[in-house]
Parts: sequence; structure tokens; C-alpha cells
Amino acid sequence: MNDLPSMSGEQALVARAKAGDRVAYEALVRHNADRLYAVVLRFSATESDAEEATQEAFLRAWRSIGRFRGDARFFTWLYRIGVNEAKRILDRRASADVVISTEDRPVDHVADDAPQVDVQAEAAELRALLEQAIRRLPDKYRAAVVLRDIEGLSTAGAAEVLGLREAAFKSRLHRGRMALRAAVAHYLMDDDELPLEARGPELS
Amino acid sequence: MSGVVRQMVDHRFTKAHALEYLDGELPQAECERVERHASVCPKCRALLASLRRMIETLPGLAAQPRPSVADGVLERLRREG
Repeated sequence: MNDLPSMSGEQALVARAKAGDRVAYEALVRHNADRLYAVVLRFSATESDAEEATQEAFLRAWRSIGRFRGDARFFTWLYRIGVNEAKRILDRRASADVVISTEDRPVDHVADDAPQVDVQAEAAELRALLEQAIRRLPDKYRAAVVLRDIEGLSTAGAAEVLGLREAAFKSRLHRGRMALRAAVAHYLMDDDELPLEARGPELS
Repeated sequence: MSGVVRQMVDHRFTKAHALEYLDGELPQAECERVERHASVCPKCRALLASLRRMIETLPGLAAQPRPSVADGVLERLRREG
């Protein structure tokens, strides 16, 4: 994944793009495409839907970059467009009842065919369970967990992307994480960690 | 405050602040309060351990970028932009 340009580097590219410089906008695409795709994927049914949403978001952003005020980071603005595009595609799927072809890999498919030792298999299983649980979270909680815990944005950065004050963001993150934990609790607790009253009788 | 009441109050505090504790956002004195309580409370130990494991696993879910994502965007921009 490309590192994001510095704020000043990004501002310069945005200023040039606003003036119609397509080369500058293409640089913004290269810097932000992987990251936007990764986030949008969490709001999409399939990888190709996520790719389409990413493309649409950049097209829309290019056409309306004159309206970008520049008081937030470019990615923040792009993120909102991208997630809206992903939801629009999901809605289109739902209303048309589009069948996902077997060649169009559903997002929650976890490919892991390599032989695994137990620890690796357990880690892969936990990741798969978390993937499923994340997809079942309400959008607002999912967005908080995706940005902060998966994509690694700071609390302040993720709050800015979602247009929330930090306190409100933290509240959503808290609820999202607790819901996730509840969904995979049976898997996360091994016998040593279970509350005493939940353990079976001790062997002598 | 009796020992039992203190334990109940600390139990509620630990549950409410477990995530802040794991994120390193609790002041030192409150961290020590959480740790002291967890050392005598199996439920809170389990809560902290499971949340920690979950939070440590989540970054591993980051999507592997498709090499074609940026190329696909640029191609559409050139065609339709």
C-alpha cells in the first residue's frame, strides 16, 4: 500500500487537481486507491463491487473536486464518497436480487488452503470469524472498527473521516468492539480464561 | 467501603474502561486499579484477555490490495473522466 503523501504534499496535489491538472489527480489516485479499496471492501458484497465503488468514487471526486474545500484531508472526503458508492451498489444488488457468480469472490471467503499447524489454523479461524462478525455489525459501528482497528487510523483521524467528535467516535468504537467480542466470545476464551463458574469440574 | 462493595465498584469500573485500558488511554492510577482488580477477578481477566486477543487480531484482517485497483481507476478516468 502506498504511503500517504505529507499533508502539504497532498494539499499541493489537491490544489493542482482543483485547477484541472489531471496528472496531479492521478498521483492522488495512486496514493489513495489501495486504502480506499480496503475500506470500501468492508461495505461491499464482492471484491469486484468494491473495485467498482472505488472507481466510481474517484470519478465522482474528480468531477466535483472544485467543491472540495480542503479543510479536511483528501482521503476523508474520498472515504465518504466511496462508502456511499459501496452502499449504492449494495442497494442495487438487493433491489435487483443479483446473484453473485462463483467467479466473483464473495468478500467473506477466506482462502487458506495451505497446510497449517494448529496455531496458524486457530489464528486463521479467528480471523474468519471476525470477518463474518464485522460484516454483521451495523454500518456505523463497522466503520469505526474498520478505520481504527483494521486500517490503523488514529482515533482523531478516524473520527475526522466519519465527521464525528472524538467522544462520539470512541462510543461507536466501544460498541462495535464489544459487539464483535460478543460474537466471537466462545472462540476467544480458552478454558483458562473462562470464569470459574463456567469451567467444567476439575480433574483430580 | 467494605471489601465486597469495593470489589463490585472496581468490577464495574474495569468492565466500563477495559478498552481504554487496552488502548493505553487510562491514567496510571486507573490502570493500576484495573490490574489490581483483574488479579482477583477471573471474569475481568477473561474480558481483558479476550479483548486483547481480538484487538491484536484485527489488523491482520487488512485487505491485500489488488494490484489492479489504481490501474483500473486510472483507466476509467482516462475513458470517462
